[in-house]
Amino acid sequence: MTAKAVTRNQEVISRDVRPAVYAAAGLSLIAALIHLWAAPEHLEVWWAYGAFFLVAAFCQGFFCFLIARWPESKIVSLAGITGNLFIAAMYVVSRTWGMPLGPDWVLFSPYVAHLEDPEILGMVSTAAEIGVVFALVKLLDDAYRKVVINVLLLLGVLVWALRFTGILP
Amino acid sequence: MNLIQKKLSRKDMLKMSALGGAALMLPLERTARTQLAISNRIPESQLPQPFQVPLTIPPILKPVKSTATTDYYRLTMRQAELQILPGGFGKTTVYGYNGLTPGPTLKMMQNRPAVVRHINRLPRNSFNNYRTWTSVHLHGSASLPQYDGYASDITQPGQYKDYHYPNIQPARTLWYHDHGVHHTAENAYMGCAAQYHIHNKRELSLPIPHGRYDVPLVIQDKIFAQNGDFIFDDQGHSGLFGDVILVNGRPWPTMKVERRKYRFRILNASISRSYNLALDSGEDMVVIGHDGGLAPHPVAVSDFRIGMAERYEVVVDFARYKIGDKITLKNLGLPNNVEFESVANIMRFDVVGEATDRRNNSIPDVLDNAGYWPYSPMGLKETQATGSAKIEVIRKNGLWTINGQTWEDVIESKYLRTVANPKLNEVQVWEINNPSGGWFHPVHIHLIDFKILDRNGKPPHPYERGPKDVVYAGENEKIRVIARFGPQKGRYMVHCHNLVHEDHDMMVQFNVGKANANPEDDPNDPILAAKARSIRRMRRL
Repeated sequence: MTAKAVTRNQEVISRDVRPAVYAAAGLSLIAALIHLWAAPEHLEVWWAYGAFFLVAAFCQGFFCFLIARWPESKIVSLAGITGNLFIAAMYVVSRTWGMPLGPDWVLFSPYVAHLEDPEILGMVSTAAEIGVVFALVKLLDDAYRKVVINVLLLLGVLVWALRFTGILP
Repeated sequence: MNLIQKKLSRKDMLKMSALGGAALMLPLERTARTQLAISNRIPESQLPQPFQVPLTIPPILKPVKSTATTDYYRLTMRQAELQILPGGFGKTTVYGYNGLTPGPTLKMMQNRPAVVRHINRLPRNSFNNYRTWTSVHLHGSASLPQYDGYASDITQPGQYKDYHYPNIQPARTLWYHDHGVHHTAENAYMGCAAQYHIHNKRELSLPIPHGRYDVPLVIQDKIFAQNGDFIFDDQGHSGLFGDVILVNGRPWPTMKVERRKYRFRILNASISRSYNLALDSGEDMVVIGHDGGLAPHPVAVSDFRIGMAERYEVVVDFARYKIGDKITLKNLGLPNNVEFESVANIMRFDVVGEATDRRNNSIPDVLDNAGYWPYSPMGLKETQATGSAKIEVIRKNGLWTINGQTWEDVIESKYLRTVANPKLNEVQVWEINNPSGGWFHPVHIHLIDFKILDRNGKPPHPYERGPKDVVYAGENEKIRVIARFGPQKGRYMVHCHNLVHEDHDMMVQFNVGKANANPEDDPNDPILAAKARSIRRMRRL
């Protein structure tokens, strides 16, 4: 993030925010590369699993450019938060409850409980996605940030509640 | 010009960490729970001593109704707590047919059909965090496709399904066990397995042991936790090898025997372990029957190999021993099993008295040529074959596959993909190839009985020259089998009977007499033709 770039957008980003932009872009790139790396083996299992990984890799890679180019954009930040949360949620669901969709395209089909074990790359990727979310929250305006943080809190409480009630195994 | 001054407070970070923590911790927590359960295994040094408990014989299930043509049975799959281990260990949670493991034995007469209502009352979420759907396979029966326990024809917890069994095949030892897609190993391991016998007049007229001298033996290996529960550890889908041997659900039991012949219907119901069975006295056992019924002739063997799902009917003559003798059935071990000292013993026979009944105490030279059964493979010759197929069992890209295909490929094809399409009543030779030196795969072909033609070009072992439905594909072995495909038409599975391999995902299908048929036009479609129903709307049998 350079002063010149932000001047074009008539904003100045203070020095303490710059690391958040770098972090969001860098972590998103890490997650993208991991998804790209893992795509072929998932493609072997079912083309749609592989496609999910490729799409995730593309979106996360493209997001690096978006956040670097428009660090102040609420739309970019909110899209990044939503997208990364979705991918992280897929990881959690597939490692605790099972794949929600299988080759028969039926929700809750016999593939629903095809459980995966957590592995290093998956955990690193998820940690990177959570890091991206944190960094993007930091980039939001005060009013948006407050709302988003409270929504994240609610989601967090909901997930733990599902776990403690046994709905999420 | 806007100045963006942004800082996240400690409170903000705490709020967000509720979700971030969940994303990172929950998968790890699930794995940790699994690992904790595995680490809680009873050490070998603390396992119960063998031969402390008596053998029990599973009860024979009575029909709930009989008509002029058909017998009706009801079985409920449910969770139960059973005292399996002696000596202060806790009760074991099992999933059993009627809460028993093995479940009750069903005894049928040839050509008298039966309807068995299987009710799934298993807990919705299992011990291993999966949905406990089931699909009951009567292994060894030429059932119609919709009653064959097709893996994807599932009965959810809270549902039931009526299975129609024709019982048209000659006398044999069958077994019923779970076959639900991706969780067969777990359900069978938890206890969903039992024997089912078809008798006929010819078999009952033979002077071989009958009645109380005709004894089912269901052999399994288990891993136990300190609290008495089973531990399911399939070592990354490679195999499950327990250090406790159960026979009819009892650990290394003893059986009191008289000085006469006994017929044992031995079923290897283990998930991944094969056995090489022998008597510690070194004396012969006589193999009189196989998966598909009686052998043409008896074969005396000092030991024999039994893979998962194989059945051998074996006669042991205890008249050779003195009262007071104790004879142990040993497992001599086989390559590529995880061996423990404790699995060298299976059970013990204690000779306690003279024979109280000397009838049916011999073995005729000719047992059964099954010439009256048109689908017997025993008379088939290679020259009759008009088709062939190749089945290669191989690990590929981290998956267990057959010809590089998996059951997921079958699902993805909307259940159309097949590895073979024999015509109805066509005789075919199938070549089963295990190119690996590190794994063995007992391959089960549904619907049919086959005869083993050769192993790596050499004659089959003497003890396996009878009608079979499972063939032990040992390391680097190529086996050719011959069969007549029938008497039913439709789609049937072929898979490895290492149930962990089957679940992940060494299973494909073939289609008899209906190549390329649209499932929706098939009156015997294995999934659509007879769907499971809700228990809440259960009909009278």
